[in-house]
Amino acid sequence: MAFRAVGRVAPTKGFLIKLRRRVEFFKMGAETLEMKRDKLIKELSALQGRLVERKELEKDMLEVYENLKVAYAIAGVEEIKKAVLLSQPFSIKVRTTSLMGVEIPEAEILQKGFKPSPSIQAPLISALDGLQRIMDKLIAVVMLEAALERLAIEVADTMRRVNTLRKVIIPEHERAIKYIEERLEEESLEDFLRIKKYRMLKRGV
Amino acid sequence: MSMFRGKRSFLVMRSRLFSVIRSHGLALHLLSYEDLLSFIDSKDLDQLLDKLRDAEYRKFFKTRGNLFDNREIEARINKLMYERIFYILSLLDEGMVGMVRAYLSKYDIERLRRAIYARKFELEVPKEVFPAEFLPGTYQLLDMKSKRELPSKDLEPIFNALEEWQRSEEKDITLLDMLLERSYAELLRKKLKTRRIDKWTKGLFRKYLNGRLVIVCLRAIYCDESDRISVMQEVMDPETYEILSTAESFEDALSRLTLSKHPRLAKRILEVHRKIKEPLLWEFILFSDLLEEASITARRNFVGAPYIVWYILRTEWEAQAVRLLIIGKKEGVSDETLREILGIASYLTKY
Repeated sequence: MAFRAVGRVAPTKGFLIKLRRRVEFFKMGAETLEMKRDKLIKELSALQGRLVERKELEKDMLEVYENLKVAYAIAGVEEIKKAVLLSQPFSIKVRTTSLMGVEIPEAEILQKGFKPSPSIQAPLISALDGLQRIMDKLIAVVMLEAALERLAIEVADTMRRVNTLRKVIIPEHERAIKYIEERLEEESLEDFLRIKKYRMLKRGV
Repeated sequence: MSMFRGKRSFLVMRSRLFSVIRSHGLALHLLSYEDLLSFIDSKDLDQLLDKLRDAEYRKFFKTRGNLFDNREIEARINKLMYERIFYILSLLDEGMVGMVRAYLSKYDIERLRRAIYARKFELEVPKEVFPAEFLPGTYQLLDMKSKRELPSKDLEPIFNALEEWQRSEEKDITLLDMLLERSYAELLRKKLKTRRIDKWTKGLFRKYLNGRLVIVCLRAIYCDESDRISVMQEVMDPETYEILSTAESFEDALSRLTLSKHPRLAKRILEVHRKIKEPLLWEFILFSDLLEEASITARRNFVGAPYIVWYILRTEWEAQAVRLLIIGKKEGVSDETLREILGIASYLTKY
């Protein structure tokens, strides 16, 4: 008989004990994975509520982009270049925290690029300030989406593992146990009959 | 002596009259509000180019390729503005030239400022879009070490500003900006004392200067640099200074300014701010307000110096408006927005 999830089955008492221990371990593992899945799903649904931020961000970004275009047209190219002279590279630091083994990225803005000065025309200060403010939101949404993606992948992975355990590995092991038990029972019955026959022959019946 | 003075005065009058008459003629070449609006209706770059070719811009915008690079567009528009202004400057008498040059030195100061920024941050000095200097020698101030090297006394306030900034320990950019603005105010104030210039012309420049200082201080407040406003104390009206230096936000400053002695600019800015919510048009409003005043004054003094000033201001405004429309159209700013900005910022809508 083939048990793909179990491998080569030896119908022995030692193997039966080993299989029973294994099933017990698999059940415990499935339970733990289910707990992990539930926890991840809980986190995922909590984060999912924040996904509306993306829609808001898209709306805000369009507005900021429109303002930037208008400011560019009003102030001119050279004024933008002047603002660039006053700007420094935008830099962020990304670190990760672990949630049930899933690495969730967190970003911290170290340096905002644009430093406004009163010589820069107001439309440009306003537009670049808006752009800078949107960067905070943008990075928050990017981190949120990255976290959601990683959590979703982990949830799917965990669910796949739980399903494999619950629907394939454990049942096959149980079937293997049942098969070994039956074989052992048959063997013990055969042995009993053989012993009985041997005794009868010995007594000369 | 009195005869000499009389002859000189006659020559000045004659030269000024000639320049006023030329301004009348030259003003006919400027674009009207309708012309500017028609730019917005252009469906593509070819149509826009055709419209530019119909105006004096034809010599700077010959092919479609001339509309590709925004920096080039700005440089070409500025070139025409400088040509127009330098021509009228060549006709003006000494007193008026000094005054107008002092007013236009804002472009030289801007050029100087950009060069200082580039040097401070060890970047390449930007290629110039301003083709000439109204106050010769302004750009050379960067490398001058003593007042003795100054080519003209007019440059002294700017030199002093740079020296004060160099002396300051922090060498903060905001401080430099405020000091340069103060030097511009000092320079123009000094020229406002020139005799032989009528009170209306002086009034116009004074109004511009006050408005400009208000805008600079509003920008400082907007940039969270209100402590730097103190640099402006000497050159500002005490009441305005008090309001701006103690305001908590630019909205607060504007609403308090509407109750001050000179509420007009603040009222207009607030009115537009209620519609747009962003400080996109402060500079446009200041300029449009000045143009409106200049237009009224020029009508009253049809053959006087205010007409020349009005022509120069209109030239400047046209350059700003054409740049707004060309770059705006190219960058995909909606026609509705362009029309709205032009309407809000253009004094021409009223005439």
